Amino acid sequence: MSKKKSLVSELQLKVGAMVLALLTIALAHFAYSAWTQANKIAADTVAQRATSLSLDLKNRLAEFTFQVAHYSDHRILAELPLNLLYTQYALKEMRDLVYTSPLVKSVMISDGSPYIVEGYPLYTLHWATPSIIEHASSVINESARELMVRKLLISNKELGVADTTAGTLFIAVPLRQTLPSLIDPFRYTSVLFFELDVSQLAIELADYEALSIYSDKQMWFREGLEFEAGLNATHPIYERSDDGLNLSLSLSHQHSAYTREILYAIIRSALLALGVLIILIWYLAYVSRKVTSPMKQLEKYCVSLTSGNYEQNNANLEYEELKTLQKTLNELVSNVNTQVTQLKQEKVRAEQSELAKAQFLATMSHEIRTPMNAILGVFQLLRQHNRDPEDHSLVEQGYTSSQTLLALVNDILDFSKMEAGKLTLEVLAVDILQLCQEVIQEYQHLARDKQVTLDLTTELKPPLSVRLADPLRLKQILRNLLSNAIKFTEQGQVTLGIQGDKSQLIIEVRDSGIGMTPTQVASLFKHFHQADSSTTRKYGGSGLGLAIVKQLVELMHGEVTVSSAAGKGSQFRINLPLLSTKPTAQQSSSEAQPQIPNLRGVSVLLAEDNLINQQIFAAMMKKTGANLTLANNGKLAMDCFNEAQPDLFFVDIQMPVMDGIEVCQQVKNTDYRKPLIAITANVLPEDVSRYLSLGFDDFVAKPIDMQALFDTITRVMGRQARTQPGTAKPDISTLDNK
Amino acid sequence: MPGRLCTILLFILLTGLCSRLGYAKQLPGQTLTIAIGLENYDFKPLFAQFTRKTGIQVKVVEFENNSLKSELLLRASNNALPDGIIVPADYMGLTALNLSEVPDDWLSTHLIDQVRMNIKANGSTLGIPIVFGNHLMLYYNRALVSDAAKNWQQLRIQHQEDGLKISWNYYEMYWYRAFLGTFGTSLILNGNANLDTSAMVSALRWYKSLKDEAWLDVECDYDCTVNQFLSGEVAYTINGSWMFQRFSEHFGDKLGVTQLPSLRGEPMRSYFSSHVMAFPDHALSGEKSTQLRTLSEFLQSLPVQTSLWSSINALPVDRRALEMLKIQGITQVEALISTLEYAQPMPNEAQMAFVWEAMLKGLTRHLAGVLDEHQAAHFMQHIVEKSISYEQEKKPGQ
Repeated sequence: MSKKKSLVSELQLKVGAMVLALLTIALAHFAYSAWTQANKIAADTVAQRATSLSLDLKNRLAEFTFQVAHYSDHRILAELPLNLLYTQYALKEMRDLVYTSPLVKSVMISDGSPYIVEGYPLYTLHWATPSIIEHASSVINESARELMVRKLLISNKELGVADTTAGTLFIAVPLRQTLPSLIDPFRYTSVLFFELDVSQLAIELADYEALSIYSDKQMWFREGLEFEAGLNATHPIYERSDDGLNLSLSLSHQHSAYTREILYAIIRSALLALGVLIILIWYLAYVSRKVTSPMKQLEKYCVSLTSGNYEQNNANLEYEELKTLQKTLNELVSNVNTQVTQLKQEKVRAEQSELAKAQFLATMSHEIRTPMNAILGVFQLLRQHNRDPEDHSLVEQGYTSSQTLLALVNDILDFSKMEAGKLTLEVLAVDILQLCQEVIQEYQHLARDKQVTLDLTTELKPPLSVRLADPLRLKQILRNLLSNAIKFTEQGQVTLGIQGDKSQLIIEVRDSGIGMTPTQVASLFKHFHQADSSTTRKYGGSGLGLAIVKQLVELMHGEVTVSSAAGKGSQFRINLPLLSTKPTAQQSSSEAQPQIPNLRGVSVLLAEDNLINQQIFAAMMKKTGANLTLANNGKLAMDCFNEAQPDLFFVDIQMPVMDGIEVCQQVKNTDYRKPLIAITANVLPEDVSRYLSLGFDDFVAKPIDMQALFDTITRVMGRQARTQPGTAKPDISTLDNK
Repeated sequence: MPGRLCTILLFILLTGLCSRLGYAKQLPGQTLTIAIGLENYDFKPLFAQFTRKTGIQVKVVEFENNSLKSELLLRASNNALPDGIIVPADYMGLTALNLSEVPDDWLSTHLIDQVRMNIKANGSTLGIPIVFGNHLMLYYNRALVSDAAKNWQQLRIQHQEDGLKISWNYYEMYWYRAFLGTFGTSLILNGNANLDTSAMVSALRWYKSLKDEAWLDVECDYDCTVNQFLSGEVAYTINGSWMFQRFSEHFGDKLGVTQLPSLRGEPMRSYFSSHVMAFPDHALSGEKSTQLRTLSEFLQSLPVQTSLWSSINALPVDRRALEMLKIQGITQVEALISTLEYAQPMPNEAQMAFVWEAMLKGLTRHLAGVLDEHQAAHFMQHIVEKSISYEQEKKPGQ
């Protein structure tokens, strides 16, 4: 299943991804180069800084040593270990030294005895430690001719200072008395120790630096926090051979101090790249909009084309490609418009033709029905009156032929209605088995004539026999199938089988007739089509029957199938979704035998221009005992009506001088409230509805079926009796068709 | 015109003569320089009186007692010492000062015997006594103290209950010696320094305990203690007799003077001595010998001695003057003399100068926690002996 792809989004995605990839690669390359370079610079910087600090420190100590070296010949200080009386002066001198020299944190004099001779501040008096005593003793004992100012790094642990990891650096100046002796010019009495104040060494460290100075045995001091994975460099300050002290400096730089800026630069670059990417995406979106907007316009335009709106697109497009597309579409529209115009003309012609055909059919139907009314009416009357068997047979044949002709006309009309989609179904509670019996009954004499057995077989239980269905159309289906089956069965049998459950009804019509080939079956339900053209010649028929069956079945949401073998017969199977229901009173009462209404004393007026129809109508009404008045047109009928209002007023619709519609309007303008019944050959439902809406109480279709006429009279008279008690009503108990 | 010229010449001649006379008055020999200890009597009124009487200017330079000795010794080597020094008698043991031996005829014939004995160092008289006493006393403010404490226990109770405080120059050895005296020792025994003793150990322990008890402001130096007492911040102070005048002037009747407080029944024993005027760098052999003798005679004269009490509230070294003072029945004088009851004469052997320094250094180290009391006593003895040894070593060469 392929996803819908958008050209624009794909373009955005791919261009964005490409730019992102390029930017990422460039950024990575820049980051790598910068990182490498920063590391190299950092290593060099740390080494240089360590060297620089080392030299600075060395110079500072050398300067200080030079400044204090002259104290070696300070007479009072040198004599202090031997002469108590100089104590106060020496103390003052030492105090001044501490206060005036920032680098000096404390001063003390040791003569190698277990006691510090003097010291300032007081805490130095504690520092008669082994290292101090040993150094002072060695200096005194050595009595070197050259002045040797030494550095001494003593651990704080030995001195008892809190920070036991670090040490204290002393500048040890030997104190000596000058003697007049040439051999022994000096007498070393003690050593003046200057404790150096680390904080005053003017070592200014950046926050990313950590410094430690140490000898091979002892740390002097450490400044700054140790950095994990920092950059380190070590540089010697003193070699043991020079100053008796091996002092080295170790410098550590925080690695991130060098890489931080790189990192920031990378982040800035990344943000910049992100910004570029965002701008690019925005630009792509902007361009996309500029492209997609007219494309969507064209798309919308194309959609409107599919809706049949073939108009020229005059949008002002920016891009040449789209303009070309627009031009092509406009040309297409132009062509389509031309063709549509032609087609419309064709359509108009076709519609006009269709209308003419429909009009023709309607006219023909009416025109055929009118004589048919007479024919059928005559045969109906003859059937009632003729008792001679031979004549009766002839009358029956004539009646049957007229019925067939009427059926043909009805088929044509139905087919026209179905083609026009104007056929609607009724839904009534119908006893299917009874309906089948009636149809079987209709065709029984035809089957007997052909010596064909016509049977109804069913496994349907009586409670399931009543279905919601259109009885007229169901009968139409059965009639078509049975008449076909009987028609194409020379001898043998035709069976109507009914099965089903609560929701489905299966109707099967089997015959042992001539059957059909598969090719014939395939084209069986086409209009005006029979299995074989020779069939028409041999068996007659319009070829509409099965087409109507198929359309009616489909209208009922069912399906029809056929299985047939040439020479062995055919089987039509119809599956209809007809729900079973309970029988209704009306349905039950339909089983009552039709009766002739008793209209004695009832005045009936008929407006009919056709004399034959007048005669047939009069003959039919004669049995009822009604007082019938005939009028040849609407105007005469209205004159009669004005003279004496009838109890029943039958009006033919199509009449000269004044048609039935106008008669109806005039009657309705009076206070006449008795039944007004239309007689018409226009039996299309929309026509019937129109007549009823105009004011007719009921209608009778031409050709007039006598029983239908009597039913209509009974119905309207009964309705009249219920609404207007006291009026004449037919007495159906005294007259019957027998 | 010639007359006028003569007048001008005569004016010039007179002006020149006047200038010459003025110059003669300010000759170097007419100005004496005197160094004195700060914690001492205020001799300035006497010098002013002397200048008025003799026309000899006296320039006074004051030093703290602790540094006076060093300053003198340092200047001694540079030949920069003053013409005279007014110091406690024990300073006469400082041989480096090259003090002139005072001829016997320079001394008053009316000196008190104790004074006469006290001014000899190594058999020689090296100073002229001026005032007597110089012992420590317990001063108290009568406005704050109704019943003066007799012992340290009472002092502690008064401090705890009434908030009465005491102060003294804690780090000055003259005061420490009074505490040491409670335990009955002698700093010089058979002519030798005697510091490494049990008395010294006990004294050190007690002295340190006073500091540790934190009811003393031990960092308050001499001036500070004086000011604290004058301001009423402390009710008691231990100071020398030389401060009697100043305190009397300040407090009047409210000044109380009594014996130093005792410890467990043992009295504190201050040194007493005379203040002498000595002449360093053999000054008496110099050109100012006459002026110095004039000053000596002035300071020993009966009028000056008699007026010592009235001028500087000091006890005279002249027997006659002292007797005259006694018979006057002055309460304060009687109190001053009564406080001498437990005082001891200060040795003025040469070793005393070393002893004072040794005690200061030993006490300082002990108080700083460098040495315990035994080590401190031992240390004192060690450095004294070392210095004395060096002193003796130097002599043959000098």
